[in-house]
Amino acid sequence: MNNNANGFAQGARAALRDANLQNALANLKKGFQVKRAHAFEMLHDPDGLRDAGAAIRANALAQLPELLELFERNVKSAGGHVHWASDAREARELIAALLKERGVKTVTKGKSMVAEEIELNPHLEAEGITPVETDLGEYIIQLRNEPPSHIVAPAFHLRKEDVEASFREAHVTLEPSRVLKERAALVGEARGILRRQFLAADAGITGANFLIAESGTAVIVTNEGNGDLTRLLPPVHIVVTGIEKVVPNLDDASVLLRLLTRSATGQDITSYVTFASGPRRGNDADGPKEFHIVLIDNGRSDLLGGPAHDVLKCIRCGACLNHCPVYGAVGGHAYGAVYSGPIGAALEPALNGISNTHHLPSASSFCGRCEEVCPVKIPLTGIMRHWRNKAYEDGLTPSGLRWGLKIWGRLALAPRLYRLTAAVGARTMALLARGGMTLSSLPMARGWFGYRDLPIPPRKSFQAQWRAGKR
Amino acid sequence: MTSREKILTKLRTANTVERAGVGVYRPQLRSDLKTDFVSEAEAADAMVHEIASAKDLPEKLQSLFSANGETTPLHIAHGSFLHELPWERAPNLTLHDTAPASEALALSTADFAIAETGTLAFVSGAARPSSWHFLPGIECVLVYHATIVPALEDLFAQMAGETLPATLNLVTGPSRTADIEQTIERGAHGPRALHIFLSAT
Amino acid sequence: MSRIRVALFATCLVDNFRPQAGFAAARLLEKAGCEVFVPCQTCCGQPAYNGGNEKTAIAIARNVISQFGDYDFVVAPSASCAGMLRHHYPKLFEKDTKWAERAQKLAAKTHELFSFLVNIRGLKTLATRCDRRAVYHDSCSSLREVKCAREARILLSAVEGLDVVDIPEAEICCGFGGLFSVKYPEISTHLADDKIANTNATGADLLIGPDLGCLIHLAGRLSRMGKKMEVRHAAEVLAGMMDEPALGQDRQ
Repeated sequence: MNNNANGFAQGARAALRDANLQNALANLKKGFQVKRAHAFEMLHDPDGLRDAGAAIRANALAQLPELLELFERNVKSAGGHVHWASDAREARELIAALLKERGVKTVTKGKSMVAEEIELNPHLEAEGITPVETDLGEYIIQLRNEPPSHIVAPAFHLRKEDVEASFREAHVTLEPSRVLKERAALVGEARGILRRQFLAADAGITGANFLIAESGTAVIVTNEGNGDLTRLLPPVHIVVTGIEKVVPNLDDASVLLRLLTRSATGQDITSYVTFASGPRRGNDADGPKEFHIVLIDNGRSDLLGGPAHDVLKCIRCGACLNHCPVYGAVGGHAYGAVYSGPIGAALEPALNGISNTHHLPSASSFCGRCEEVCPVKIPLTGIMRHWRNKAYEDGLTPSGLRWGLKIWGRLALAPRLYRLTAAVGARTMALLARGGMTLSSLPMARGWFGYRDLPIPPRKSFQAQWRAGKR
Repeated sequence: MTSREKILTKLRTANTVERAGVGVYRPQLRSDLKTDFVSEAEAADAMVHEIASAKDLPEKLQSLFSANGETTPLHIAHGSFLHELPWERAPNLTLHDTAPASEALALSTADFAIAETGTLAFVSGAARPSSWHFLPGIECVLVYHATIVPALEDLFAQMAGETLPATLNLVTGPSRTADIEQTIERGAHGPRALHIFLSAT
Repeated sequence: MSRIRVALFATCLVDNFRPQAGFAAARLLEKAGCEVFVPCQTCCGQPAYNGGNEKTAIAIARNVISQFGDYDFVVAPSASCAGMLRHHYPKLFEKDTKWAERAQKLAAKTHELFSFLVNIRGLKTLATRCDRRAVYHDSCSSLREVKCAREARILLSAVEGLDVVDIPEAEICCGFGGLFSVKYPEISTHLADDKIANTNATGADLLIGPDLGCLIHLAGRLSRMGKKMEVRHAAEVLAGMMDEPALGQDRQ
């Protein structure tokens, strides 16, 4: 992960020139955006649903410690275990230790952004445990040793030819002359390979889309069913989750579920929604013998009640990414962070510190589309502005910009100086333009003139002309 | 201080967070429960067959999955009442209570069905292996009209007072993925096809 | 009966780059029965506000509140700047007991030009003629912050002979975003190029809109690409003041 401003600038440049990536990104408009819009149109009260979701998340955060304690009690009374981790390191060490104690060699994994966040896989591998991603998109990028490029569709940036190449390279036991041209063939091959892994796994790790306090439940939402095969087949099921995901009751989860699936993929519901409330009971025909919840803080508790607090409401639907013009231009990898797009810009400074991540909230035109589609009405641009304030206070704003803002600020506060400077500026630009009506370059202004001309200002400003009596 | 104490203390001492309004949303039925359920299930790519009673299942399944007369294994969980159906009427189907493999055919009963989304609900239990909804190639499910509820909240209302089972599965249509080029393919890991047998009695 | 007193917040871009749009706004306001004033003004403070320099934004806002506080209404030919005064000034002074009420008062009487003319003044007819096909660029502010897309079109439909078309994918940002355009110029230009391609697809040769920032950015890119397109603030068309050359263009 290239967590810095230069990394982003370079990544963005490369992304803009990558024809395959640009093709994939064009799908955002035709796919995710259209599907989400349609799903919301079909609701009898789309804005009412978003209001309900926003209220549920806000109310849950208002009682977060109590809900977490209630959740813990209920998980334990069903025979499950709850572990608490303050940060990423503690979380992955805890999980690795849990697995090692049980002699786990292979662990299947459902999709989990939190697991990415705590960098779980490399640590497990270092501890002699093999993690196998089972969500098809995650499996593909695991083969390619790439990070996810989208919260919901990790392999969004790839073509089927890329997948074919990765499968041929990795699935060495299969017949090399086999045809893998069609998507269905690729999916079928993954099905076979991963079925064996599901059946052989010593443990399964999933994320949780929601946690329900009143019933000690982790809710797992998938279309593939991989989360369920991960939970149900091995003897141990571990859920990794942020502490902010808990809601009071089943009805709250039902409302949020409606919002999540429509916002993410435009579906009324995904193929599979699982309410996992502990290990197998008495006579159950199957299910894990052990159930572990790993509650991870990693910077979230610092946000509660603060200026960026609302970012904790996020239900990880990815709608903001799908509608963001910046994400739509450069894709997820350019951000160099686990969470990309507007939610990444709002959340990453909390997780990784503003000095490493200030370029993310900076890279926004504040068009506001993200807030328009956010199912829980997070004021994303406001939070990005908060981080920009922090960056400015900490002296992280690039010096050119800082100086420009300082000068503009001084002028804006001194009308006479402002008028004088503007008049001089207009005259200078007219001279430089040599009789033309546009300028194509100015010193120290590559940011504009590298790509655009500038219409030159007229000799007299509006105010000057108005004061002289022109109407 | 344990991490648990550290985290909870931090959360308890954070600035107060405002509560905000009420979070309720009731979906609207378009028609009656059964019609909504069927149209939603079909929109989610499930195949819905209406039958008069569970007794019709064996013949129905044979006609669907063994029309050419070939012997077809059908997996039904051990202890399920489905074993008691008149299977002699479907001689081509051989019953097994072992876990179905990736291309196998399996049959189970739904505990509830949800009209809003065409969803089947399965509660884990003694004769109700949860994993069987994800293992076979074709999943067949018997659903009684009377178990159709309008929305998920109604399902929970019906279960109120009981502890939730270890696993409650909601199944809507077959397994699918759009992870390759954003185009839907079926049978990602779970069943490629879901057949719902909606029984009046 | 005395006319209502409207202070015109011209915006720094109109003031310095497009006085024509300021005069057009004044003419429209007078047509709508307003007495127009132009208090001494510099900037609404958005660059500082969005750049993370809240202190300077607050200082600038105090000046604006002082200069513009005594009028019946404040009108800006910009959804972006109107939005700054309406939505963000109250936020800037939330915790300031002295200024909070003054900021609220100013916010409540500040309007974007087109929404003011239609919703507050009920302006329906224009007695203007323009036999052209124009393509209208909805700025993000006009779609989301201070909604005036509908009102702009109501006014444009009152111009005789004018055929107004929308840009496909109008909801997508043109890439200006104020400082964004120079902080991330490649992305900004990429978005401009998409917007220009969509604009050209309409076949119109006149590009108008409610926000000058977007228009300067698009006009500048069009010029660099050597593409012909007449770019004006929509107020100029509404006020029948199209005698001045378009943005960045010579007298024809």
